[in-house]
Amino acid sequence: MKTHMDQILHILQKDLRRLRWEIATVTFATLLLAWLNGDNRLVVPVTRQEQTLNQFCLWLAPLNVLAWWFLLVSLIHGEVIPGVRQFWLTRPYRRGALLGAKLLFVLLCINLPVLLADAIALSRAGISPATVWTGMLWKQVLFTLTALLPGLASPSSPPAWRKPSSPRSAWHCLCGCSRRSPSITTCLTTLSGG
Amino acid sequence: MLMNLLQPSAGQASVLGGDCRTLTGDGFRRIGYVAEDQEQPDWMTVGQLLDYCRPFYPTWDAALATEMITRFALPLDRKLKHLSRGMGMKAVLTSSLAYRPELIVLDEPFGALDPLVRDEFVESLIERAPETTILISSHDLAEIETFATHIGFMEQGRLIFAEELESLAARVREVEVTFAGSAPELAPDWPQTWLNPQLSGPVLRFVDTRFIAQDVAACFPAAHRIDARPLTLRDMFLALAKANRAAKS
Repeated sequence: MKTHMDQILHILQKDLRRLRWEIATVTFATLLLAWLNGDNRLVVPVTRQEQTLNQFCLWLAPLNVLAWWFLLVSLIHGEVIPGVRQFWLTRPYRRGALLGAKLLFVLLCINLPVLLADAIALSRAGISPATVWTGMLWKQVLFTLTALLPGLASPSSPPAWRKPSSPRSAWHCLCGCSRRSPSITTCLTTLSGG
Repeated sequence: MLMNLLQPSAGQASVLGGDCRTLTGDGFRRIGYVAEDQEQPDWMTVGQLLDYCRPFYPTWDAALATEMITRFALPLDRKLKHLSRGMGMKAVLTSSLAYRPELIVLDEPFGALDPLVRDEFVESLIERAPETTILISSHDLAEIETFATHIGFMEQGRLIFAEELESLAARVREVEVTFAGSAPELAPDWPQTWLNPQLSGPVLRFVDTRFIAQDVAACFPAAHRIDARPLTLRDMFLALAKANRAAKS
């Protein structure tokens, strides 16, 4: 790898392959939530179906944030900085490239789906995303600072804190916690109009 | 510390001509590091590990990698976490030797490896010996003794000595002095290089770390017989450790 960019893309490719199922799960949850949130009928739910979907959204929203965190922690945990036993420490990693790869991952796999989700929610609510794009970008900045940075700081936490960030954690978190929320089957049935 | 994983509190060391504290990133293109307790990307298969490592090293030798895969019978499609300890070490060794590093650093590489795997491991290392320097940190002294050319002995962060195994074996001897009658009292000016003296009837035993036969004979003119035998590395280590402990207490 001659350039920093080559190494950034090489590390990014590895992370995308390692976390592909987690990325798919989190992206799906984000887009689903956006789709539901864009439905004006759910603002003041009247029918039983609308109430069920509304309740589902209330459960899904915090789980989605947790899933983003788990994805972030899993990402950083792949090449964690504190410690002396990590694989990458004795390989020709350039620190700048490593940081660049992680930031690019966050942009591609979290910021971009969230931006897309916002656009979907706005469109469903009858607002053109093109008219409010600056606001959407500012929201991304705030979102990164308030929701993502604490997750990025997690590698400096004690190892025991990082244990829940196993590769399947985001999925387990979503599935495990949703047992107490309206069942996925109920919601999918409601969504399909059944 | 040599790999710049830990910061030294004092002293200095250089690796491939540079201060070890400045060793980062591209410096590791010339170094192969394998440690027993090192974390590996165990979600990768062996093939993925090698494919992932290859672009980092301009000197990657695909033919050598293939040869090692064949020799070690590495299953390319199996994840590292599903490999036995020995196979895992072989996979990591392959990923660390395939780019023909100038320096190979092995930290306790033989722990929990069965004898056959050890042999294969050592064999592949010895083959690299003409083109590379191999530094092994190990407590497995019997294993090291079979192929090491130089030995360094560290105790509590201090390098006690570092020299060729041949000269070490020549100068460190267990001396057994047999007297006709009972052995004499140990003199107060007993040389510091004579360690762990033991009196047993007419026989005096000690470890001489600067053995010269004439000097020993001159010190014991009344001796009936003087024998000096070479020590194994393990025995040398024990003698030095015991002597150091006794000196401290």
